[in-house]
Amino acid sequence: MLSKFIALTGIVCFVLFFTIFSSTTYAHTVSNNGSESEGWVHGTHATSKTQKYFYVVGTEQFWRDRFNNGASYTSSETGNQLKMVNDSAINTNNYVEAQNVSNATWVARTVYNTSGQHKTTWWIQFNSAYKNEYSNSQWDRIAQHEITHVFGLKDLYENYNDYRLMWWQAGNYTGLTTAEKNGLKYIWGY
Amino acid sequence: MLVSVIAVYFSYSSSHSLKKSNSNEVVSGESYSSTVEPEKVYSEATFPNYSLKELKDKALFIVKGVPVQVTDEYMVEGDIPFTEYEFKVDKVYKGDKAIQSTAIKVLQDGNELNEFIDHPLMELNKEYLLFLKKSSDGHLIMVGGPNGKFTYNSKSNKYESLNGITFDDPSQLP
Repeated sequence: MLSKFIALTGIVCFVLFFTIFSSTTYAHTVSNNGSESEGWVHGTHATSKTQKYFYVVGTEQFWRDRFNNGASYTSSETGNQLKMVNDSAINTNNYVEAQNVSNATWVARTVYNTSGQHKTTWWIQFNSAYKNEYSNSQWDRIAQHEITHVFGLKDLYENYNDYRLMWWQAGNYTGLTTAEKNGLKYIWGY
Repeated sequence: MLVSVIAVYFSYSSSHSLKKSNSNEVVSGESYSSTVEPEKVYSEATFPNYSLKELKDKALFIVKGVPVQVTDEYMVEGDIPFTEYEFKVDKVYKGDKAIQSTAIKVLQDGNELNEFIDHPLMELNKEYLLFLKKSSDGHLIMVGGPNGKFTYNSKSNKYESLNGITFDDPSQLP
């Protein structure tokens, strides 16, 4: 009996320790969803600050580079708090790929399953039918835009937000603005 | 404490089973297995940045009308969703006037299982102004997705886009 009690206590202590000190701390429930006027809007967010993903077999190096650069921007602009880690399909269901879909009108998209406020699984797709319409650096920022969806920010539609990373139209992104950084800080509690 | 342990166990179990289910989807290359109920997913997409003038220039047709029925819903490449509408054209502002008062087929991104948050599916029998172009395989699609889809607001008598661009007379487009 005593040994069972000690074992259970040990498990609970381990879980608590892991939860508090792990770098992949789960996001808390977000009560303030921001607003257009605040410059950031929360939708649903990934389950942890470090997200694993894999590249679908056949994804060209061009798109891998774009995603890597977008992830690098995200990491550096959030003080290394929000990270994307390339892994294998054995360890994660999240993935990145490019598809050439001429009937599709989107440039890139983030697709996800949800449970409450959380994105439980996500995948990011680039539409390579638009490859030549944007420069490499523009694509890097489009990748960063999609990654920021994973971490919780929704698109912005009011014209006064057209300079922000989460503006819904591609092409003029220059990175996270101060308001968007504050939104992410609030969502993730860092 | 016991509750915590049980919660940890169930938390692990549920995430583990979700992972297995989704792994099957990816590995098989099929969108859904026959035994699993399709799960609705959501898309947040980035669309091109077009001004009204660019929309007009790129459009093969600018038409006012209503979608009267969904003629098809499908996925390509496993998970790229589309919905095809029969769209009754009331007025043509640009393009061949022969399609006026006829029904055309219009393709939109998204379907019931995977809808675009930024680009909701057209509602049947609701009035829209659409900027349409032909895709490389001949489908009529909206120029820039939601850029080329304006809903009619009967209260203000104006056509409105996703980001609040409005105008009341399509024949006066720049």
